[in-house]
Amino acid sequence: MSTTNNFVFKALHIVAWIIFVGLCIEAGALIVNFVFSLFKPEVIHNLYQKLDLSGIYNRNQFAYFSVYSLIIAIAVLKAYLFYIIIKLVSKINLEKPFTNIVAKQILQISYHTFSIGIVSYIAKEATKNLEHHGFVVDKINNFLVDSEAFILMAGIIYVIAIIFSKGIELQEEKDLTI
Amino acid sequence: MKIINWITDSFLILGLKICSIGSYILAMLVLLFMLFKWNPYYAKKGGFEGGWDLKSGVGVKIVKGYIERFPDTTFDFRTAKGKSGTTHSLDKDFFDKKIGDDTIIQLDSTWANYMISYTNNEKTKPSFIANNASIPSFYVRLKPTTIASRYLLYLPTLLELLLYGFAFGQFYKFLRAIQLGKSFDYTNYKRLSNIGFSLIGYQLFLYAYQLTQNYYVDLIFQSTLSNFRNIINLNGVPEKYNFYYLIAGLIFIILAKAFKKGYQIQQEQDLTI
Repeated sequence: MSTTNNFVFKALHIVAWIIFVGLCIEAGALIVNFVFSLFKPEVIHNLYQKLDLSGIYNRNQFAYFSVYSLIIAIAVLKAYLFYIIIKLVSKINLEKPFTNIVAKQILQISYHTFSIGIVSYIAKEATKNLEHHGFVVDKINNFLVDSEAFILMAGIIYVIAIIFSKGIELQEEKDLTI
Repeated sequence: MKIINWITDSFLILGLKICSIGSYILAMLVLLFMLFKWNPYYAKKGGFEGGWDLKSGVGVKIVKGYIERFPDTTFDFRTAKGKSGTTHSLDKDFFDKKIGDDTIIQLDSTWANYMISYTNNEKTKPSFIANNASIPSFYVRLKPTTIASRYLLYLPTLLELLLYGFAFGQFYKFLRAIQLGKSFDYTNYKRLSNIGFSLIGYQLFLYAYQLTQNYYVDLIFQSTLSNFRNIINLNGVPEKYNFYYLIAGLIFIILAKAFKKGYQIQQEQDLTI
């Protein structure tokens, strides 16, 4: 492996690990806050990163649980996406990149990116709807992602994954050639 | 069925080309605005207020700030002056915050001139920086009034549009090559690599640019009162910087490397009798 490849790999590995740990902390904190708020609703005004959902909770508990579930779903999906990226970076060998495991991981990345985009889009629309009904939702947007960018990225990665499977065929043919 | 697939793919590929051209056209408009202060609606409406996306300036997310409170004071800010040739406007919905226990700062107009009223009834306490009066986050719109500030404020927008145009164009060519049966081509490797490096380069530029923009978002308030003291200090960061694009760029580079290997295998296979 050349020095450039090595550097890119190491950089991606380190950055992915840092983000993964950060996302795990965020997801964990949100889940713990959520479970805690079930038993002690007084804490809802000061959740993770000063998220205040007390206004929503007091007016409509169903809306609170829906919005919070979507926030948790996005946080967990993001953490899992980075877990797959770390797995991909660990398993890919640039001397022999076309393997079924790597192709599967790339497909998984595209599916999860798409899921994050869709869930975030639903959450954004739900938030807009709540705002329309007079709920204060300004802090929620910090936990949502750019849904359009994620969906577009999912499409691009999916196309690459399909072409990757063609590469596997080539690699297999090459391995069989005497 | 094959024909239908081909037509669908062609539409997708054509869409990418349209996105690429559209991004370049928008980039040209921003460049025109940067160079000549040109705006499509400027002539019609006679001012920026009725303008296009550029009308209200560049959006910057304020993430930290503090408010200094003085005893027995009432301020009425009617004008605000920007630093280094900019004017500001605040989003009313984000700025109507309760500060401390009994003080509310309110903005009486949306995306327009300031009219902030501030009242502090704590007569006994000496002046202090209210730690609990930090402002979590809201948006400020910056309007450039000098050539230098205009260039600096619209540079990220211009680069972003150029990046989109370039990335869509590269991906269009990539898909077109695949449609023509050239999956593992050397140019395809270069295209993926270009997308990756441009994504990383743009994010690194934004990170460096953030430092400059922080300087531009320093707000200076002027008051009608003679004994005026500035009570608000705010710093901003551009909202565009995104870690995910950095990761996406690195993934593209790694996939490009894999495609390069695929190209070598393809060449070997083509030479095999």
